[in-house]
Amino acid sequence: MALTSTTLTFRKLLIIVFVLANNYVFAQTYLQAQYNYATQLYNDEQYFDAITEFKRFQFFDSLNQYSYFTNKSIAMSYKQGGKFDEAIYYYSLAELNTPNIDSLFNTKIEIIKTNLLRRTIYRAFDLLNDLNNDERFNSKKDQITYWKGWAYIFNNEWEKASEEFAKVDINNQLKQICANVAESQYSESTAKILSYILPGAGQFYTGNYISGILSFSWVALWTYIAVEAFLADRIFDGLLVTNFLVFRFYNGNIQNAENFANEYNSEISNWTLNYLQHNYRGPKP
Amino acid sequence: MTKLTLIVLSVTSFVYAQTIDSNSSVLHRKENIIKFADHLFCEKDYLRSANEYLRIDEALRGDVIDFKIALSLSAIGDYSIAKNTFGQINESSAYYSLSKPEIMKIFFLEEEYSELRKYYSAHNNLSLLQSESPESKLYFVSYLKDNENIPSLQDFTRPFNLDEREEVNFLHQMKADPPSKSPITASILSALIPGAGKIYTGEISDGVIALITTGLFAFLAYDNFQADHNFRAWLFTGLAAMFYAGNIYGSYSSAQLYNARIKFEFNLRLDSFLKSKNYFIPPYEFCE
Repeated sequence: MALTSTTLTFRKLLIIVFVLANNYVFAQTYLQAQYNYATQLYNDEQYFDAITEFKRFQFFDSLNQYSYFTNKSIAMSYKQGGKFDEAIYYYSLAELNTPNIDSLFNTKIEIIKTNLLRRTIYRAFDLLNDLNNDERFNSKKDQITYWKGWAYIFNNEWEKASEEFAKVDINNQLKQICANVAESQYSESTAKILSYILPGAGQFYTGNYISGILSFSWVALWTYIAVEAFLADRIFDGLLVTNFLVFRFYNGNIQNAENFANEYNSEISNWTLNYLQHNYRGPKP
Repeated sequence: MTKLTLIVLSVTSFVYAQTIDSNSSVLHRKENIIKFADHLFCEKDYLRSANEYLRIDEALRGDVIDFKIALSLSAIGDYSIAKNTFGQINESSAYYSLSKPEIMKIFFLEEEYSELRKYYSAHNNLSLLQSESPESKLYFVSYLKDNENIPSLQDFTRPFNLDEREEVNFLHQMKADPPSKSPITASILSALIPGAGKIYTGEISDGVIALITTGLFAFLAYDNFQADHNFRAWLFTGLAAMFYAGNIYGSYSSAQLYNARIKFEFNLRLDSFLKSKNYFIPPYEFCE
C-alpha cells in the first residue's frame, strides 16, 4: 500500500514536471519564432513593421531577459527610418540593461553616431568628452578619437578632423581625405581681409577673376568721381557719392568675397560627405 | 492517469500546431493582440496601436476596442476615419456619450466651427447648453475661433467650472471687444500731426523721429524759400512731402500689424488653454 502510494505520487510529479517543462520550452519557442520574424522584417528593410514586432517581442518577454537586445533593435530600426529622436530614446533604454562593458561602450557610441546624424553635434561632443573622461573605457581611446574625428567632419571642421584621425593611424584614409578638403578650402577671413585692403583681391583669391575686376572697377570709378568733386569744392556732391556709392560698392565687395569662399567651401564639403556616404567602407555614423 | 496523459498529449499537439506557422503563433492570437495593442496605446504609440486593434476582425471587436481605435486615429491626425469610427459606436454602448465630445474635438481641430455647432444642435437639446459638459464647453469655445456673433458673457461662461471661468472670461472679453487700433484713426492722426498715429499704435520712438524729420525738412524748405535758393527749397519740400506721406502710410500699416499681433497672441493663448485642458475632455482610465 505504502509502496503504491509513493509510486503514484512519483508519477504525478513526473507528469507535473513534464507539463511545466513543456510550458517553459514552448514559451521559449514562441519568443524564438517572434525573434526570427522580427529579425527577418529588419533584414528585409521593413523597419516600421520590424519595430512593431520587436516591441511585441519585448512586451511578451515577461522576464525582461532580452530587453537590451530588443531596445537596441528598436533603436536601430528607428535610426534606419530616420527617426533619430526615438532611436536615441531606445538606445538610452538599451544602455540601462547592457550585459557587459563592451556593449555599454558600443551603445554609447551608437547614441553619439545618432546625435551626429540628427545634427545635434554639440551634444555628441559632450558625450564624447564624457566617454573620454570615463576610466572604464581607457582601453578604447582610439575609437573615441575616431568618432571625435567624425564629429568634426559633421561640424565642418576638416582640419581638426584630420588631426584626430592622424592620432588613430597616421596612414588613415579618412585623415587623407579630411586633410585634402581642409587644404582645398578657402579661408573666409583671408578672402575678407584681402578685399578690405584691395577691393577685388578677395575674389581673385577664390578664383572669381571677372567679379574681382568688376568690384575693383566700380570702387575705383566712384572713388575717382568723389575725389574729383572734393577737389572742385563740391563738398555736398563729394559726400553724397562717397556715402552712397563708394561705401556701397566697397562693402558689397567684401561681402561678395566672403560669399564666394563660403559657396566654394560648402560645395567641397557636400561633395566629400556624399563621397564618404557612398564610397567609404569603414565604420561611419 | 490515462486521462491525464491524454490531456497532456492533446495540449502539446495543439501547441505544436500553433508553432509551425510563426505568424499565427500564440503571440498573434486575438487576446494577445489586444494585450499588446493596449500596451502600445498606453505607450502613446498610437499609429501602431491603431494598426494592432484593426487586425482584429470587425465582428469580434466590441465597443471598447472601436473606441480606442478611434482615439488612436484621432491622436495621429487621421481625422475623417476617426470621426467615422466614433460615429459608428452604438447608442446603447457606454462609450456612445464619450464619443460625442471626441467628435466635436475633431471638428475643432479641423477648424470646422460651424459644423461643430451644427453637430451639437443635431445631437443635443440646446437647453443643455447651461450644463457643465465637455460638449457645451466646446460649443461655446468654437465661437472664439470664427467670426460669428458671440453669445453674451453670462450664457457663455455658465458651463465652465470655477478654475476655468477666469480664463474664459478674459478670452470672451478679448473676442467680443478686442483692444485693437483703427488704421483709419492712425492715418488721420498722422495727417494732422506727423508721427501722432505711430505714437497711437505704441511705436513712440518711431513717432518722435517722424515728427523731427518731417519738421526739419519743412523748416529747411521754408528757410531756403526765404533765402531765394529755389532749387534746394523745392528739393527739401519734396523730401518733407515724402516723409509726411510715408509716415501716414506707415501709421496705417503699423495699426494693421498691431491688430494682427493681438489676434495672434489671442489665438496662442486660446490654443494653449485648450491644450492644457485637453479640450475639456476628462482623462480616461484605460492606462492605470
